[in-house]
Amino acid sequence: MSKTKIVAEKGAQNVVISREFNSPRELVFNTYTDPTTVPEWWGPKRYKTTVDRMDVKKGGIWRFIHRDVEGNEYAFNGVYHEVNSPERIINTFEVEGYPEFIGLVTINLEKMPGGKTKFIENTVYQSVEGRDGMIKAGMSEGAIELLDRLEELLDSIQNV
Amino acid sequence: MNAATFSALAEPNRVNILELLRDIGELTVGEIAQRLELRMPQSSKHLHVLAKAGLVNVKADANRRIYSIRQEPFEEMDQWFESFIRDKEEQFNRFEELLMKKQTNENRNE
Repeated sequence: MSKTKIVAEKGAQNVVISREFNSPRELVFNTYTDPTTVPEWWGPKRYKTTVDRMDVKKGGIWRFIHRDVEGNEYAFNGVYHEVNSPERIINTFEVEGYPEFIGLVTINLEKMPGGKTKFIENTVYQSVEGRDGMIKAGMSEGAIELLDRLEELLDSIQNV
Repeated sequence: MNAATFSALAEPNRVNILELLRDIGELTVGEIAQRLELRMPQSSKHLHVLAKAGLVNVKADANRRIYSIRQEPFEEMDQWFESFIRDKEEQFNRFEELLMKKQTNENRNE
């Protein structure tokens, strides 16, 4: 079973992604905001991540670059709106070249018993279509095809 | 993943039957009908749909038919659902590895 939970209600503009970590909140916060370790974890492993800018404070800019095996580059950037150690970070998230998909990300770190931390990321996009596009971008091709087929099936059941 | 699986699941009684089989293991049509307060023909009909979609196994024992869950389609569904958040899951797994590494180092330095 996947440890990451994703909730994207139909017709809404936001996505909530959550995950529990077996580490205290301070460590999660410090690791999350440490530019030197970002290349070790940010994004999927098949991309090489470099940190172009990461100024973790209100008004500070972050910009990360993904490089795939063919040498194609994809850049992501945003501005920090709130940095409140160790509980909250609010920032924008933009895939360069797709400004219509910009999202406002609120990350809350909740202290859990036993030195655990619940990481909750709520991203609000500018439109439902923009949100759905971003979710699809994170899926495998096979999953998208199956989702389309499922949608067709549900439509056909409802129209009976 | 097969869309027929979802079609077979899209009925509350059939979901109840699957949950019952999951919790108990093996049951006959009569036992299922009794526990869910369904009529026998109704239960048979639902079990037939579930068997046709490959969600349950049927075993003949004398003149009784015994039903149980077939695990494979549920494993497939699980993998399918996971494929939606594959990238995010991978990222968080890597983040967790790093946390574990840091935690070990901190404990060592104490």
